[in-house]
Amino acid sequence: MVMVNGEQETGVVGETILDFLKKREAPIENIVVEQNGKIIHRADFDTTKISENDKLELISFVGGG
Amino acid sequence: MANEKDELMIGGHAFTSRFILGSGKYSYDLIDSAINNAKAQIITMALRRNTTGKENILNYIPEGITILPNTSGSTNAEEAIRTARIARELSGSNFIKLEVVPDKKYLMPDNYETLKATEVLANEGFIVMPYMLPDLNIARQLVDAGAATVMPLGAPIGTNKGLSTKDLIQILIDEIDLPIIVDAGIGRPSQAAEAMEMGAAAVMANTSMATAGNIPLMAEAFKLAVEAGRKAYLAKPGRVIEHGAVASSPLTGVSAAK
Repeated sequence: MVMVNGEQETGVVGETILDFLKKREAPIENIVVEQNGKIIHRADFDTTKISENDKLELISFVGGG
Repeated sequence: MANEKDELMIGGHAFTSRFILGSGKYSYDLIDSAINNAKAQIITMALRRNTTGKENILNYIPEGITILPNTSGSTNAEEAIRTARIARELSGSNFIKLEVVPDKKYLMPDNYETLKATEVLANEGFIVMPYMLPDLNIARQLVDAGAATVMPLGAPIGTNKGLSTKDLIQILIDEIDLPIIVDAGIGRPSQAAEAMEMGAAAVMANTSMATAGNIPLMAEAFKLAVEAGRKAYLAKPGRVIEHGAVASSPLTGVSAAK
């Protein structure tokens, strides 16, 4: 089971982070990915794969004070 | 902290604007005009989980504006440190507005956890701008921990109540050799001007814009107020007479009717 932002996600094991983000139409330039608590650098998005039991956090800038 | 051009220096970076703008609680479409009218050079942002389909705020930020990420949502030092590292990954810069707020009712910052996080982040090369409840002893410890500025609250976040902590902020301005940037609670341009007259290095505001009827116009009003307050501070305001009065016009040579 893969958890993405606290929610269960299916059918993503084996995908690269980059492919996964593209599929979600996520704005790559405004996304930080944490894989099991470790920040994945943007340059490594296309070589880092999603594994079973991964916990992914996708974090972006939003308006704030 | 003033240099010859009266620039605001933060962590070795020079700014001509002394008004830091927040980007929360209003349409991204208004960010550009708010920045332009405020002549702001720094804009704050928060970090949250990305939901597919959400707008990308970075598309609304003009070129050359410094992004100041905050660690809002963090309730202890550990969470704030994690958020700061994520922010740096995204912004590519070391600026971080450190907020550690465990209290949900008054949104009071935890000065002790803030100090702990400041120490760690400063050691990692961050330009740490800690948000704090104004307290001289903690402020001195923040200086020792490597903070780049100290950001005391004027009043609880989002209240627009102004300088409720005025006397405590004045102590920080007088005693701390770092830019004192008043953050939170500033609801009116007059309050921003007052903070600047007191010698604050800069003012940060968000809710006062977001809750205004005309956001770009209010941003301009804040710009003028911050500039007026700064000039007044540099001009060294005159003394106050608590009792009685002192005439402004000559007391002699008054013409008599008869």
